[in-house]
Amino acid sequence: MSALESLSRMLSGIAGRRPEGNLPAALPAAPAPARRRPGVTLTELMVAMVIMSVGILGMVGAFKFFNVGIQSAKTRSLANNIAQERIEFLKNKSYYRVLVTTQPVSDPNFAVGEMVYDLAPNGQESVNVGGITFIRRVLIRKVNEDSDKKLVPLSWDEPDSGLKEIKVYVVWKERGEWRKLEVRNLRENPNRVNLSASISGNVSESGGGALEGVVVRAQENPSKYAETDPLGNYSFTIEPGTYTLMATMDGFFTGTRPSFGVVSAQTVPSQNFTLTRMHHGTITGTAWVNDHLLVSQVVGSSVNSEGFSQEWVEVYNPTTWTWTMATGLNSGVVGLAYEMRNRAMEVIPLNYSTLTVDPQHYYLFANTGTVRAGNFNRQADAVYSNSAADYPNIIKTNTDPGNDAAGVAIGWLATLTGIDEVGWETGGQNPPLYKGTPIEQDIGLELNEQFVRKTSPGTLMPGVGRAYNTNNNDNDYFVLSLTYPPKNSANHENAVSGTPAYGAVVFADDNLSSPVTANSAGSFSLTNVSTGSWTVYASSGLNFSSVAYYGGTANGFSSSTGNLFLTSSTVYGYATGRVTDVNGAGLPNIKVFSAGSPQATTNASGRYTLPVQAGLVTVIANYRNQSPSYVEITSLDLTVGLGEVAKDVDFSLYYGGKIRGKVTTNGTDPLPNIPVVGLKNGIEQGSGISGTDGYFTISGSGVSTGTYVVMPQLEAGESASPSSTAVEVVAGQVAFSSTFTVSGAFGSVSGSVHTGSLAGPVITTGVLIYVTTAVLPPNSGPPTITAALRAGIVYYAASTNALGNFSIPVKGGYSYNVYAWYTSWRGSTPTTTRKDSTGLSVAAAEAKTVNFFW
Amino acid sequence: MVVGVMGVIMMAAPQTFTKVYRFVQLLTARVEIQKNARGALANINRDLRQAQGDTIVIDSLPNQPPHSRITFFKYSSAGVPVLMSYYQQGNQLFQARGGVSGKMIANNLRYIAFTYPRTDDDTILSISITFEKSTYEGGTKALQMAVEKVRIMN
Repeated sequence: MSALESLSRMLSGIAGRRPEGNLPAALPAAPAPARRRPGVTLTELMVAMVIMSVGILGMVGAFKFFNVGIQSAKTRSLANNIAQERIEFLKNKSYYRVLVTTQPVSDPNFAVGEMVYDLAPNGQESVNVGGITFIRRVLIRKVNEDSDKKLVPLSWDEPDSGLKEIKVYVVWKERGEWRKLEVRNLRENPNRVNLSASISGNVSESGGGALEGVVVRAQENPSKYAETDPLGNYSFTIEPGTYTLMATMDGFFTGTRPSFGVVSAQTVPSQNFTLTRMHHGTITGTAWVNDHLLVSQVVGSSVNSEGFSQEWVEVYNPTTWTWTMATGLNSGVVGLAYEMRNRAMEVIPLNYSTLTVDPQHYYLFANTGTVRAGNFNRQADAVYSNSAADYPNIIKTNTDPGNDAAGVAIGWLATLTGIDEVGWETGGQNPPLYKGTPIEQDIGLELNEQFVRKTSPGTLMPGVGRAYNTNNNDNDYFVLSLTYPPKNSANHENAVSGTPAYGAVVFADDNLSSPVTANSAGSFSLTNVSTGSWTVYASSGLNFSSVAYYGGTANGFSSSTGNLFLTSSTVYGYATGRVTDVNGAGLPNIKVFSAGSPQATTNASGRYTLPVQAGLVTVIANYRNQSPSYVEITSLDLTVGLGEVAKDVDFSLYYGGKIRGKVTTNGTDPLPNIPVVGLKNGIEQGSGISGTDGYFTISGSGVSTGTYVVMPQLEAGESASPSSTAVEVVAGQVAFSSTFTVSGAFGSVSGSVHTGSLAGPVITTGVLIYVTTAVLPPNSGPPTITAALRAGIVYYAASTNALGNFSIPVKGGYSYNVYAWYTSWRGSTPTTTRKDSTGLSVAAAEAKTVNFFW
Repeated sequence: MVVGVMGVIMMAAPQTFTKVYRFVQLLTARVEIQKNARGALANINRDLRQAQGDTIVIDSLPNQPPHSRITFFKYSSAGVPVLMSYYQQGNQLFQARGGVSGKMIANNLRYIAFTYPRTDDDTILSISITFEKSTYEGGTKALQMAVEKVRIMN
């Protein structure tokens, strides 16, 4: 017997042993208690399984988040590398070749102002790494430090501040959401000019004392400014140059001082201003929106002189444009519908005899070609077709069996969307169509009864357009016995009301008042409006209106604009201000512009109101030097909401011109992409970049009249003939500087490295690339780089980046050999293999491509 | 049902544990190579900025990747120039000071190359460096950091 069998028997003996000995038969054995078996019950097992399942499912769910976390971290890491690479690339350029963004655009996939990037001259690029498509963008701006040591961005056309901010964005889409990574760096001009000069002065009130809190700003460099102290004194430091000062303070007319020069270490004192206080008053008025057709009259049944039971619906056009009602007799564009409670809506088939309705005219729908009411006979513009159900009695009255609460509507037939509707109660029941509150009626629309829209609050004035519309039927209509005959497309009446422009922003283009909003009745009260002639604007965000208005001469004046009708649609915000010359005189006909919106022109007093895109914008005065005698000036950044206004965006223009010239390789052939700067007193006042034709133009706020040194900005190894020229800029003229011939100009050799084939995966770990006119022995490594070698033939070199790309600038006009070394590893043992591409000719400004694979 | 649930759990658990393990491995590798890269670059940058430009020699140890060694004299606070060298040997980066044998300052080095963007301008030197570490099942995590511009100050 095996030990196992012995153990088994022993265990079974214990488990199955019965009591030993003879027990009386009369005493039956007591029933054995239920045995407690070792182990778990099915219920316990199920509970345990449920708990474990919950745990496991939780782990699976958590794993998903782990995975997302890993992927997200990996993507961000890749984006960081891509951004860093671009930063290094830009830092590797000389200061002037780090090109400042001249065409900033916003990406609508991000919040306003969160993603403004360079469309030109640097542009954006798409980079695919690891199956993820990244978009790489830059934003390069001139910046300046303000008095608090904060960086203030400047416009690209302002004089060089000696400091450029480089932002590189990498944008990608992750799980349906756009994400971005931003890397920033600063690039300083090694020849930066310090703030070695200063300007000081005093500001006082005309006929009064010193003024505290006046901002005095250098127009040529708006980040340089100071505020006056309690004694009215101000002082700030600035780079040497020529400056125009402007002093501004709320409640005072802006003051300016003519341009003056300041040199290094000089303090220019006594740049004093005397500001004139503005007198002010109040302008009131009412703003209305008129942007759609209105149902202006409904008649359900009226028996005419011939015994015919006629009905009609009159429509009024309060807008400033013509509406197309139909394109043919049976081809309706705007249709008419009737709906009674608990019945289906009926779109009434019509024969259109009039196809359009002019502004401030009516349009008549009727069940008869001629409506006869009182002494009037009106031709219907559209007549019910006899194919209509219940024709000709469609709009029911109290005398019709089954009459109930009902309404009529006009709307677009193509989409069956409503334009306007009016409904009336019956016996306390609401109709299916109405606006606000239906017209209160006990027995519904009655025979010979009419609902007529009011012409203004509480009135129905003959000869005035029936346009009052609070979007509340019970408030907007009079219920009358048939009194007012209908009008048709031949009838013209001007409106004196409309829909109250509740919440519309109302502002004047003076320097003093602040925008207000219209109340629920459309009324507004614009306080603190300067004395003088202004334009009052009202904007609801969707609609816009303006009115020229004389605000009065006496301090404390009070007057009314009357009604302002917001009829022009708008998708803009607004910027207002004044453009003056350096003596403070308003400049008329100056173009004012902001990217993405139409241009505006200053009026006779130099004032303008410019529509601008909602968001972060800048305003440019004298856009593209359209008034050639003056410089172009760009404002600081403004934030403007839709339909809102940014006020007091003022400019003071000084005389200026343009500088033009050409960059070539040999006197004739153009050399593009060479930055050229114009220096005045050693300070860069503007720059241009040679185009594909070699020509460049220097213009902008810095190019005032005077003498400039014009100089191409070259890389080491390049030279220009002449190296610089001096030109005299005269107001309104283009000064030609010179034709520069650049020798030793660079081209480039670029490419990518792969494994397997040129279409294979890129090598991301680094490949050493050399470009040289020298010939290396077969299969050798690169030469040892020593001081002696550096004095001889030039070798250009780089390593490929994390994307497997390289780009090496090389002097143009030579034939080069390109060598590439790739090292693979077996454990810690390297194996290096060389690939060659020889005889590659590279001309100045030419980009050649060479790709390698291993 | 019990058997089914158990089966699902038994099937899913190893995969889950494997992925968690891989995740930890990946994190560890990333942290290590980033630490290596930053430390190495900081060392090289600092020394190179103090280098005497005309003493810089770029070559490599025998049987090592091309241009993976740079040797130069740099100014020291004692006023006596010190010979410095950074070089790759296998997968390790060494720093040698004063001509004595180098000490290892980073491992997991995949690629390092010292280059002049153009040899007629010895004030600008470029370093490209890549670290790589195995993680799991032959997978690797590589991080390349390129410093395009080190200005030689002397």
